[in-house]
Amino acid sequence: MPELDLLSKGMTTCQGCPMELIARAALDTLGPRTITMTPPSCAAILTGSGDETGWGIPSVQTVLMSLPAFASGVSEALKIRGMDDVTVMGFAGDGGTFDIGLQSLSGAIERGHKAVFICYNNEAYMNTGNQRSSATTLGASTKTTPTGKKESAKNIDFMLLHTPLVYQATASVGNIPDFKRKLKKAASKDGPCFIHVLAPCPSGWKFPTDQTIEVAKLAIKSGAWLQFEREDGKITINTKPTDFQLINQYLDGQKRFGRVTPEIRERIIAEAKGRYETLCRLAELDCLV
Amino acid sequence: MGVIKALDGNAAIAHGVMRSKVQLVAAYPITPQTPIVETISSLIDTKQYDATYITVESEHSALSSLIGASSTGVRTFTASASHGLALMHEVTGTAAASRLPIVMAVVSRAIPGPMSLWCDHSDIMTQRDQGWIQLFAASPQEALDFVMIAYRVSEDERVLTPTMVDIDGFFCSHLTEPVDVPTVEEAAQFVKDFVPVNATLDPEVPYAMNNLTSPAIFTELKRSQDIGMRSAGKVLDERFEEFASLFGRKYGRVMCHETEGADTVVVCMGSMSGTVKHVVNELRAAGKKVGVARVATFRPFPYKELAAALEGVKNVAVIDRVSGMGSFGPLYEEVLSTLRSGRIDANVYPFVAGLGGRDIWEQTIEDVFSRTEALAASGDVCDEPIWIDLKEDEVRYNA
Amino acid sequence: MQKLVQQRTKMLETLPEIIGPVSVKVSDVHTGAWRYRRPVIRDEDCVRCGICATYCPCGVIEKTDDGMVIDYTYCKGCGICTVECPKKAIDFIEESNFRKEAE
Repeated sequence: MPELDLLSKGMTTCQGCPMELIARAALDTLGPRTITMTPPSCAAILTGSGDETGWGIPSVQTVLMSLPAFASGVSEALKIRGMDDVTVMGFAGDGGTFDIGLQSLSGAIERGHKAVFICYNNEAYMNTGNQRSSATTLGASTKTTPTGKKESAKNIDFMLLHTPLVYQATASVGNIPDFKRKLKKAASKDGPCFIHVLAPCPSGWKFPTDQTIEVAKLAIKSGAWLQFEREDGKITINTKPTDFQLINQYLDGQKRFGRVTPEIRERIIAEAKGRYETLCRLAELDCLV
Repeated sequence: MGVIKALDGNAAIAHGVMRSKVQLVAAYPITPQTPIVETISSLIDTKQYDATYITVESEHSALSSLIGASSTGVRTFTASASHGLALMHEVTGTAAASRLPIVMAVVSRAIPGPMSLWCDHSDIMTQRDQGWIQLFAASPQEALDFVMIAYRVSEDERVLTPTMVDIDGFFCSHLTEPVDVPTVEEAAQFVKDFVPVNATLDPEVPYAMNNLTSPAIFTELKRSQDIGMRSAGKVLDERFEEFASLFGRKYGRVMCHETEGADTVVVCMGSMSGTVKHVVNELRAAGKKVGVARVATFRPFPYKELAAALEGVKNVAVIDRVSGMGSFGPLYEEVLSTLRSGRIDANVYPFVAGLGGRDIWEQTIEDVFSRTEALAASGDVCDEPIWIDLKEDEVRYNA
Repeated sequence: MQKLVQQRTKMLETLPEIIGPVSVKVSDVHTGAWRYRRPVIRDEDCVRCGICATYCPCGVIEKTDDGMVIDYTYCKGCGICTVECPKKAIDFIEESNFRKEAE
């Protein structure tokens, strides 16, 4: 049997789409014995339409509110059928994870089903044309916050620190080898895992399509995005931010921050610093079970 | 045959689930369905019943997880009521369109608001057009038997449609009666191990399920679903027949009592039918030509069977246990369709009774019969339902 | 990619009829038509590190015995590979130039 692609190359995702890159890297890591679930979201473009699908593995398009519950059922049914070698991969955006899907995710994590939940975070409802979500960064313009979002983003990673995830990580399209390493680790675990991946979206964040990876890298470097993992009750920080003032450059490279005032700019930087300081202190603990 | 146990409707359903060799159950507690959840999960927890129970955090997740599990090829069950069923609404459509043979018990309780814990059919009627087979059981025995029958029908390759087995909250769910529980061996003659006949999630054959459906094929998928649902009528008849031959209890899609030669017939569903039967017996003893036709399968609706039962009847009184606000109750509308399509020229009168747990007494039914006779005599027609058990002086409105 | 398309098409012939919204065929949109600039690898400067392939969202760059090869049937021309190439060995050329060539 010739080696087959696990994801079609001819799909109508936008140019420079980070979500597609994450999915591709995920399947590259997990291989063909994987069942995936996507909610209606940008990832539904991978699921396809009509009699066609982009996935080379079995997939279900769930409803937006309860992908993790669908995954719970699949995971338990696989156990019943003795198909223990199959990985269940949830693949949802920030809306399906932070907002409407949060309750279902919290339930699935608490019940301890074996599944990997990947959140590709493009910081807004991008598939419906860029409306703010609770993951949208303070100050970002979206179609529902044209003058810039007034509230800080929900910190899902910190929220989930006190849930019984057997493995939790953040990752970025700016560092695909790191994402693959984390996903491989997650797939080896016998319980719920969560990987939160930053997915800078050229269409929604308004930067040139060739800059997707550069924006993601700058997010890591500037501390706008923190790379860490939690395993066995211990947090490991993967990358130390170089200089929080680089956030200015990060904001300037994206037109969605075109209306950010100097005050908001200060707040964004201060919050990023605060997040990192909190994380550093948490990383000194080893009791986050 | 079987073992006689004293069971209420909820416990009977739990027994039906076990006897149907359900492999995975996910449900969320809600009054008056909670004892089903407790019984099944306890039996699984104490290893008296070999199945998986997912203690979901909501009804929406309950049915969502069943869709996942059923898609992966295992037999599944859930139960809900009222608010819970309302929360599930989004995914009941998904389950039906995905052609998954899921069975759910609905322990009917009024849908809010006002807030109520008690029985009427406003919850299950919200699901009327979601593409589920809907069976209305009138007693604990029927509840158990209908669950077993439901799996056979839903899983039939001609049908592949999920089923709701409805019992009335408290009136049936908490009513204890002697129930003939088939032994495991007896039940196994009727419900075999689950073998999925449609696509399942399996890395060997990478299906993409519940995909976005374009206008080019949506209508055809809906019609396929409709044909599956309609086929359930015939399959139900077959299974009722088979069930009777094995267990001696004979069911039908319409169950009639004294309709033969009757002038006036009440059409109803669920637990009230027992009371109606009793009143019919008393009125018959008093020389009145009355009868009752109980609809047991609301979806697919048994138009032909009901028309046959109403042939030659002069007056039909339909009792809906739901208000049909601004219109008529759903059962009344079905009966009108039945009469029209069956070319039956009978007077038909819409009644609403038993909302939010109000008891339907013998007096209520007697009132329905006498009001029907009076209306027939006067030749009046009804342009809105008759709220037969209404306390007129407590109705507040500005008009 | 073509292997996948063929395998699925073949599979479709052997599968039993499925009832419900289930898809088996592979999405095969020739998204190369979207491209207004084309990444072209200068083979002499390419060190075959594969970073372009790692970061290509569409997975259209493949390492072969003859070097890195871009599948222009699907390449949308986002330009990520041209930016990420550590040797700057990928040129980003206006599609119109190729059309002129073809003429």
